[in-house]
Amino acid sequence: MNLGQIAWAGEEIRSLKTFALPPDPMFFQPGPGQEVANTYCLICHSADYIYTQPLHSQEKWQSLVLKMKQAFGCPIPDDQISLLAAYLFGQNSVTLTSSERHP
Amino acid sequence: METLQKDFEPVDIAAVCQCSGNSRGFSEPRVAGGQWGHGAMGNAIWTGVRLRDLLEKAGLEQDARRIRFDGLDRPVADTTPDFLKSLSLNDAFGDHVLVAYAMNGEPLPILNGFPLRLVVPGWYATYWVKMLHDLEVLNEEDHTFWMDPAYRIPDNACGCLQPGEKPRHTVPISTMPVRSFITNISNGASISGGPTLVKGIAFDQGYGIDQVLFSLDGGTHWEATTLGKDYGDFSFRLWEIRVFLRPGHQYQLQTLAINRIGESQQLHARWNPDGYLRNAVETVHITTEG
Repeated sequence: MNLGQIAWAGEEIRSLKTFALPPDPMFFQPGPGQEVANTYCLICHSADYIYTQPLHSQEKWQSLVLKMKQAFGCPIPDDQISLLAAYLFGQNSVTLTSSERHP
Repeated sequence: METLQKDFEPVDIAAVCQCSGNSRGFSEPRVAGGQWGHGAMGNAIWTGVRLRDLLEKAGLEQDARRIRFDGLDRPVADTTPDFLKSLSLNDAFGDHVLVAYAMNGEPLPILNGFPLRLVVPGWYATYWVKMLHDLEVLNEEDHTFWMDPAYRIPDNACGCLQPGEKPRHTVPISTMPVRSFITNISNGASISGGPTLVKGIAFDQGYGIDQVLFSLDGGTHWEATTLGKDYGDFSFRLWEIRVFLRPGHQYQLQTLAINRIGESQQLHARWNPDGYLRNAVETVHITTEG
């Protein structure tokens, strides 16, 4: 849909405001699985979403990754799921310093 | 848009829009999901047309059971479920449910759902579908993803479970239990003592706020606050109280709101696996200088 064609009280919109989204406060940290996390997790949500989660078991992370694939449609290949779950389990207990949060 | 504005009666309502998981980050034990503080909510004056006026104009068949809402937004992948929500016919015909085109007297900002959004006063924000463009009449129950299994609570009186327990039966989340907050003093703050004005907000699902009680000592003693202007039963209700704070002390500030049918906030937070429905009394710990 072309926003410029939506009429508001009979008048066309003649100007559009722009706004800057805030930068993501965190990035996935180096380790086996970082690339997979960057490729698939960031399609829908920030890395911050992972680093703020409560501590989960690796089994729980496996089920969360499966939920992202099966319920939310994440296109992660089946052979990457265990690698990602292991990576997220490892990252889950990492406390990032302020420079890592804002590289 | 012109037809909506010219052919239907415009209605204004002040109403709170709050995320189902607002304050989830305070769940104890903690739960998975977006770790919200208390800020996933807002209050505004919404202007639009009654959903029921639109439905009456359109005309419904005898077997209509639910109205399902779709917005212009599309999922990020083809395999991701489209965001659809629905209301029972009874709820959809509620007096206050609007298809809104304005917020605080101006066209909806894009982030708030321009050009049209559903406004369901008293209900959690998951129903307030943005960029609304499609009303679908269903003659059956709705088991699409965002109604089932997403956004559901345990099917019991408190919508709660013992920590770690899994729900056997669930129902879609709906209305918001009564809450209140202190808004001018932050948790952990160090402030100067003496005469102090404490201010805040309270709201519920639309019965309206009857009173807000205030405590300096973590709930041992309570006193009444003064309520501010009444913008309607679905709105934030401002409250304030003047207290004297001695220097060099620690205080545990709390508020307890009670609505007009006598429902009050919980003294101890309920627990459920998604961190929904939080309405516990919150504590603001402060220290006075000197």
